Amino acid sequence: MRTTQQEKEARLVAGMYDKNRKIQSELYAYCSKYFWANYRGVFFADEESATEIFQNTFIAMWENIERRKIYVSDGRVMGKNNEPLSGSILTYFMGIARIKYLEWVREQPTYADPETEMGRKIKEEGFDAQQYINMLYDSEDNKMLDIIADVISHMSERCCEILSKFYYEEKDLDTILLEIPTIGSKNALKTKKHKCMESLRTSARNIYHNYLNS
Amino acid sequence: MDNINFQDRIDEYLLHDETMSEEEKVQFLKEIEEDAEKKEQYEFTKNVKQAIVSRGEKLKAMTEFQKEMKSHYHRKTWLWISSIAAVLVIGFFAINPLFVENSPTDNVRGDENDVFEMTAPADSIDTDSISSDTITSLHK
Repeated sequence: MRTTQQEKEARLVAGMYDKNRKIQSELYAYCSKYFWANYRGVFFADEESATEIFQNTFIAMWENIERRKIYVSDGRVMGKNNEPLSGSILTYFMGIARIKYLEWVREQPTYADPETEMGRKIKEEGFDAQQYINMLYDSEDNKMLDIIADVISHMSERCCEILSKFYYEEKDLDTILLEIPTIGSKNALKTKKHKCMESLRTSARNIYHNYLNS
Repeated sequence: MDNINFQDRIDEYLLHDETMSEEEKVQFLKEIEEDAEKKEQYEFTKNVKQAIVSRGEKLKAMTEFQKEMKSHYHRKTWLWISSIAAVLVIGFFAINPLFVENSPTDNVRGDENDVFEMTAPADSIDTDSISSDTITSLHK
């Protein structure tokens, strides 16, 4: 027996996978309302950081739907091992948000607030890499792509800017140099881009090795 | 430096392959097939490009979703305000006649026919408008 909420969530996940623009927007609003009403009880972050965590969480969930890590079968939202999700997709969403928060705290440890559930957990147990790996990297094919997508979400702002302009907007180095005048020359920009790629590669490799060892 | 130069060639192949001749493309693919490290660098760059494009498109879509959410919220707020205003206006016109019909008459002096039952003063003459119907008498 399926509940109205399960039916609604199945419709949203299926529509998201089918690239239905209206349903994508509906799922965004559904997750957004829940996140902003509940995140303070789960972790502590200022509004700007919470916005960033929300964005990265939604992108991760969207990519999980695209790669069929969660999908709809027989009117139910299915997850790992082809089993129905144990809770609602909002619980799943907040699960990813917790992991994104852990990543954020690792970068800014002073923000681990002992007053919140997550803050206490971090102080007492530290960062659980296994939980991180299970949630984000459980697809069967091209795990490296999953890992890279995740590492990109917490790259430095400057690297993010350069690589986005180069690979997403497909701008050449001369154009990027005009748009980022703080970089002195084309060679400096080229070196910076190379360093960004190398640091991304090192992080992704480390996570990949941890994944293989786990 | 070789690494940077090879990265340039990967970027060229992935982003602007239309500028490469078929011969150059074949040569490039052959080169990466023969060298594991170059192949790894190529696969890595391909994944980076794919991940960045996917993220960029999603961020762009999410900006739109956010705008839609805000305008939907504004529409909803205005709908509430207009509904409340409409209820108040309709309520006012519905209740107002009740007040008019039940309005008190205590502040009105005398009775309805009081004016016609006045006694004529002692000095009044026959043609006084108070004691007789002047219009009829004039006709007479």
